Amino acid sequence: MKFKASRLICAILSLTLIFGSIGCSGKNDQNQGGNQNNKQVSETNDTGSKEEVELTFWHIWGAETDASYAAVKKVIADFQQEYPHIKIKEDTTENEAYKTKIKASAAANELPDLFSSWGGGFSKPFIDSGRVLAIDDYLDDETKSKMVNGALANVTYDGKVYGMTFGLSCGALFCNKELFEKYNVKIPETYDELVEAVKTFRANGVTPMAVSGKDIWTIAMYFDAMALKAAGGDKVYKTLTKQGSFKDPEFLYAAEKFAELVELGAFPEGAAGLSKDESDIPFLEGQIPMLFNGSWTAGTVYRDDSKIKDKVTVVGFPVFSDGKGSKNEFTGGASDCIMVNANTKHKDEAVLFLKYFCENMAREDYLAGAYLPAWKVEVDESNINPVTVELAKLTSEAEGFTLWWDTLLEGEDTQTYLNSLQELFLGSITPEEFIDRLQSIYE
Amino acid sequence: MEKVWANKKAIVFFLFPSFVILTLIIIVPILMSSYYSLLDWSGFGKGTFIGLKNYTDLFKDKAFLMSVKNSIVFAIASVFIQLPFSLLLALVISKGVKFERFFVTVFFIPVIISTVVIGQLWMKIYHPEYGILNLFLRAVGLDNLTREWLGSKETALGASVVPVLWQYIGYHMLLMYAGIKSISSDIFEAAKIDGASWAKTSRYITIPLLRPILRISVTFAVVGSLKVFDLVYVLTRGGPARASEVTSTLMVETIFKSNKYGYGSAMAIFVIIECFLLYWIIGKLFKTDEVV
Repeated sequence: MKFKASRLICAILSLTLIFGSIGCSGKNDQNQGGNQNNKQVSETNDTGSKEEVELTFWHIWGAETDASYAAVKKVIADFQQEYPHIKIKEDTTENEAYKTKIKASAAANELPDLFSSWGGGFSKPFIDSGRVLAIDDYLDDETKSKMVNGALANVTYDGKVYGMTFGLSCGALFCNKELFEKYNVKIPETYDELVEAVKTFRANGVTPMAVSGKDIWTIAMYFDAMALKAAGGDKVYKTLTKQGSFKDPEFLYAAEKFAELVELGAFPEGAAGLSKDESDIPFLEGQIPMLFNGSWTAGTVYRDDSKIKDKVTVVGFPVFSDGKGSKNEFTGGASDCIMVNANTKHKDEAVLFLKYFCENMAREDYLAGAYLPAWKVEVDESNINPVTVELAKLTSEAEGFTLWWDTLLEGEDTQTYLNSLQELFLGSITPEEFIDRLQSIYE
Repeated sequence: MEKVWANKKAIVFFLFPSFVILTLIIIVPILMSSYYSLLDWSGFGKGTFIGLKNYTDLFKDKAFLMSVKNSIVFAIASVFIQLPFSLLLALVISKGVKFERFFVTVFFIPVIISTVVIGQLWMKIYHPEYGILNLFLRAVGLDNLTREWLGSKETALGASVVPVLWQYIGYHMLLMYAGIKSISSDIFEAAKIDGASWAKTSRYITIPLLRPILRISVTFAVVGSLKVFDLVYVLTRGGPARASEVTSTLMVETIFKSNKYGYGSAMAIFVIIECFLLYWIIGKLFKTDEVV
């Protein structure tokens, strides 16, 4: 009897374990929960009078540590003051979890009235399945004229606009002036100067550039920029949207130059095992002179524990002497956006909020140093983080922005790109093999 | 007791709530996943029914086969390295060493700590520059043994296996310790009178009597290894270049990053079948042992 009992317990316990292994099973329950919430909301909407409208708004700026947290709070509070009959009901989720949540909700057709999303490939499945409202009818020239060039480029699909952006980010090379002066190195403007700088720093026992091989997108920051400088924005865009070929010599050239940088020891040893946070530390400690990453790094540079405040200057990625990309082409652009659910019951109110939010968010976020503005704003720049102001100057001369590959490409293709790039970074594939893998996106 | 068993209504009454919950949160999702695994579905809109194609693709997918192989490495390592270690600790501690309770608690601590914390801890240990492991190797003059533990393809898998083993040694030890303590002390006394040494008592009395517990431990270790996710995700994200990818991390990437919901569901179903199969084999192995 005793033996049987233990066998029974054993069976029950192991079954529990086995059942626990089905990762996606939990998701369905969440969906069911979300479903109920949505139903409740729509019920209250039905019973309310015409003027009283409640809009649900999902976004990612819910953590107080987030640079945009205060800006979002302020803009929504201002909106409530101005339009008291429209009630905004917020629901926030942490960035990575949010991506999963929004995909699951879109799949189940349970999106809120308004939600934050990302332009390019990320939102394409939502658009294709008809979940997002096209807002062309609501966009007049006056609204458009208030935005900077290219503000709507990444939320335009097949000639229709499906969302609005508020801030833009771009890739930039953050250089520690103190280290450059100490070793008498010129801040690089061309690739040859960059190679020179890398060699000099290495010769002095300094690791030249910070990167995290574990968070692969940080490697992609470098390669996106190199491909842009080698091939030029139009070609990169066409190739990534499957209207060209990775077999063009420019891409192989970029891959070879990237492999050359790895070969020269431009990146820290063991970088493939370091997370982004870990790899940032030596840069913030003033041990590594260069970091190529998004413009949000300006905020990181002025973090409390940073030892390089006021020592940093920014430049675009160095150009190739025979490259097709110019000095004023940047990676990045306006990608973070707000979209409206195609099935919302209150289209007019939702778009009204959308416009108000994006226009004011552009200003508030710039003041907070979280993004560069995607709308033309006039603010007092004396209180803004000096690196951000420098970046804004740099990008004001921009000829164009090419979205980051991992945002522009769709899900599976993004993984192909990132995984192959990591292998190129580790030196386990050659630049030619890397190009072959990229070309497989076309198959 | 017999009265209760005879009352069929009472049985239904008590079992019904848990039956409903179990069905809703476990069986229904499994059935849904099984259905999704037959679709070519991105997770959005409508999927197309493609029969067993996802499953045949699985066995042609190098990344998937690699991840299954890595999961099996985890399982083998935990059965043949972790469990003997736990058994030895349980035997030694239950022998009646000083501060018995203290040691039980100490070895159990890693089980209580959050996996993410353990991951961060070991990331610091493995750090190529200031990590304690490389610092130690340098300090004793073994510079040529220092590695980029989590960053190189050769060592990443091994480096992620060690923390997983380390974390659950205490867990299995506690199971076995409790098992040993529940064995009647008469038997040990009789053995003592007959002049059996500690090693002999362990070999011929404790371990055979511990078999049911060992079976539970082996099952937990194997099933736990096949579905390991958290520590690998924190330590390496399955990288570099898939060197430490396990089935669960690959599944999450496939579903939520590559948007291949159908294909990912096929992986989930594969893991379920794999676990059931091994559970059944383990049961068989322990049964034939009993007859002998």
